[in-house]
Amino acid sequence: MSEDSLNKLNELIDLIQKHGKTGARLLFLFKLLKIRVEGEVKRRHPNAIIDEESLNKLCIQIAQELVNIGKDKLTEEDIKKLLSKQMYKNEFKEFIDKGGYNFHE
Amino acid sequence: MHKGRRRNYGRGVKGFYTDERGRVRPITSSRSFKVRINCSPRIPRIRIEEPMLGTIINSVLQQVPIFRELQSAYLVADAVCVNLDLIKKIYSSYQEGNLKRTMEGVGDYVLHNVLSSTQTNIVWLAIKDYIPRRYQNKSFSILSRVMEQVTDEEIKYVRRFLEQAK
Repeated sequence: MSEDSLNKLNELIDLIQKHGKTGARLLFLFKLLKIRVEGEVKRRHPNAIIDEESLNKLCIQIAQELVNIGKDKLTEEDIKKLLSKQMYKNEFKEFIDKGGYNFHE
Repeated sequence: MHKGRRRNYGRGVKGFYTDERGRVRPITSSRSFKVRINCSPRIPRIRIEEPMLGTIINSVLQQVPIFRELQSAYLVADAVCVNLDLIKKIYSSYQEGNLKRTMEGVGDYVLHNVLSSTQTNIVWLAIKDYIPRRYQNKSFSILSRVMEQVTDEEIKYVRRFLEQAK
């Protein structure tokens, strides 16, 4: 454990050296989202097990979109834009899952 | 009276007393209750997967404080990038000097906490001036939460993601 924490800052420095601002932004947004989502899941379903892989995937996708949208400064507008996009994506997915348009009716 | 005969009083007898007529009466215990333990039905553990996680993420993104938090995280990330050399310098001098002494005789758990908070403080020391005052409190709490909770695996995951995206 102690080695982990010793290496953490080195890892972070390595990541930033390789990927610059994008790497740092992505990591911070990803982790922040993950913490918040985990907290929300625990609040809603204290007994639940979170599928770590899906959580990582979703959080990093959103973090990347935020990084892409935000460019130099992330504004409230950017986040709202992302949110509406995300909602649309989910609704569309739900619609497709339900079978999409039924032309045979 | 009660020596040879065993009488059934219906309830447990704690003792005897003599009433005003001179009769020996039993002191019975109050009605006994069976202790019922009310077990709540066992809640099955749900596994939360993608579609449900998506909904939860949406609701998290809709919460008002998340705007400020995401903005602060962005600022912290930028500040870390700009001051990377300074962070490296402070960190290496700290490692050379204090760290080895600190490690001796300190338990793993304590060491982990000390190092996590030290790392947060090292980074904060370097980036503090770069962050606007109104964002400072939020930024520090985000930095400490992220630095303390992020794992090596997660940093590697982000790195792999970036390398694949190239």
